[in-house]
Amino acid sequence: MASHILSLHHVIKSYHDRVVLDIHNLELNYGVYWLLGANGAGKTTAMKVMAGLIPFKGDILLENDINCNKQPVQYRRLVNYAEAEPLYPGFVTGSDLVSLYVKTKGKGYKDVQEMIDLMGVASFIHQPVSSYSSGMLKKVSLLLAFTGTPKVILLDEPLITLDTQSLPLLYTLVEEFHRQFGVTFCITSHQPVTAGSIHLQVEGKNIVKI
Amino acid sequence: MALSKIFTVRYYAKNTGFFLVLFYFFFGIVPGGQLPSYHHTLIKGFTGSLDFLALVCLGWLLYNLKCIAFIVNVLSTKEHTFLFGTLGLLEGPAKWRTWLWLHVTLYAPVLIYSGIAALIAIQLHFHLSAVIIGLFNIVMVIAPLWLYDQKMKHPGTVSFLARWQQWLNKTIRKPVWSLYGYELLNNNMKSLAIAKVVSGGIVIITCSLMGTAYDVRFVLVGFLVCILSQVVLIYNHRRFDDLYLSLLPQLPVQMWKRYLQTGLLYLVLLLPESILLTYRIWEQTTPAHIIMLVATGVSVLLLLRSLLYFPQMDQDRYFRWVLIIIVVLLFMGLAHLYWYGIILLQVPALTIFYNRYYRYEAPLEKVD
Repeated sequence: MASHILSLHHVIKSYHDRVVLDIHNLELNYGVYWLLGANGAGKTTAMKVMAGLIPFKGDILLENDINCNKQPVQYRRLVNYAEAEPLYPGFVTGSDLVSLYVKTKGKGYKDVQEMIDLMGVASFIHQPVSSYSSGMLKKVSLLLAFTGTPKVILLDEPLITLDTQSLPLLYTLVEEFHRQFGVTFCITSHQPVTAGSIHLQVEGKNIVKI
Repeated sequence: MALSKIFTVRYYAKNTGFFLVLFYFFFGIVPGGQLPSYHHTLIKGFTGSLDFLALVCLGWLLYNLKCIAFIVNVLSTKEHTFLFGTLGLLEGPAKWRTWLWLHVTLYAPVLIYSGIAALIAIQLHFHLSAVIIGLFNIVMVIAPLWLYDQKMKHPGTVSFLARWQQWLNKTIRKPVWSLYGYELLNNNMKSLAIAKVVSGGIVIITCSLMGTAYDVRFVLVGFLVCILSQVVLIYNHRRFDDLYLSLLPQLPVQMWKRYLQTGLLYLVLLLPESILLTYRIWEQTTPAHIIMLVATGVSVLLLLRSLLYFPQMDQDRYFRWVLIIIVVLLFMGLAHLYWYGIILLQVPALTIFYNRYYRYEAPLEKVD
């Protein structure tokens, strides 16, 4: 397993003139990371920066090779991200989204139909998302994060709105993808995510390992 | 009668603003003494030209869909479920009479105006137009009754189209480039319909004013005015992407593919006016000219969309750019530099798109 799966060098994220993240150097090796921080500390911004979804200054490298800004397509193929509060057009169905992800991200570690059944979304996958509850929407968004063959999966508050039956399932999936397929996870949550996870903390504008 | 209160009175109360605007355009913009001659000329105009009549029928069809949607929506609300146990018990002629009466009370404005139009058409010996108006309105009155009957047979708050819709959802996957198109059809139908009716009218007026002597510059000016009626849709495209499609930048898609997908969306968006224009001028022009006109339209929209990847591009700046682009194109058109105009649009559009796509971040206040 290559060390330094994700390396952040001199990453600065600002909104107008206000700097919200200033990460001098952060190197994440293969593992499951639990990103901690108070409300508004910048966890979601940090996740979006790591996913390459919002512009920032500095460099983020995947496996010391793929640069987020210079090779955006390759980077996005290997880094998946699930939003805390996913929002999709109401007329789109879950199956539209799955089909779009599978088409662009490619065949996954696990068969997508198996994942659909496992996540318990098969009964509503063909309905427009406007008819979903927030929990159903969350399940679909998590399902999308497990598509393709990513090296890193970023899960922003994956536990909120999920029912209690789904929580063990998510833990099992994280464990399975980590151990079996070598995926590194970075998860933000106010609850403990999985045993043995490495803790990261947003301190001021920086992210440090604790 | 209870049904009048539930359907007819509520329909007109709900659409007071709509009817006031309509009333103003039909009876308020000309002095009272000239009203009969104004309407006589108007009716003479659309009954004397089949193209114009088709456009008028389209307007009537849209109005009829509005009436149908209102009745179906009322039947779908929880507080009106009792109608299934009352109206739903009617059978035979009584059932059809009730639905006919209800629908006609809503569709009456069109029925009255089209009835007068048909009489004037007969007086002017435009018999074909009179027959078309008659048959069209018979269909408009009869067809919805079947829809209402189906709705009554499938009670509940779910639309009777739901099963068909679910079958479609299972069978067809929405391609990513078409999502904004779906958004327009689902949630922004009014803006889309206004843009299309306006540009349809512009195409007809342009071709009528041009007469038989084909002038590509004249058509280009008309088509650019059509493009102007679409610019609000492009501005709203950014808002839609910002709000609902934050997932798109996550996908590993090559930039040229993203650009082509946007171009394809705009090509489809311009399809109605392009088809109408082609139908009107195909005998006088060459395919190359038609391709040039459509390519110009798509290129203008692509450049406008690319400019919106600058987050500071607010509505004022955007419309300033719209005017600048249109004026530059008008001058290039006058100098017969049509294809250079397309290059002049495409080069900055592609450059900005390529450089700004991943650097773009939705303005915070917009997303909030």
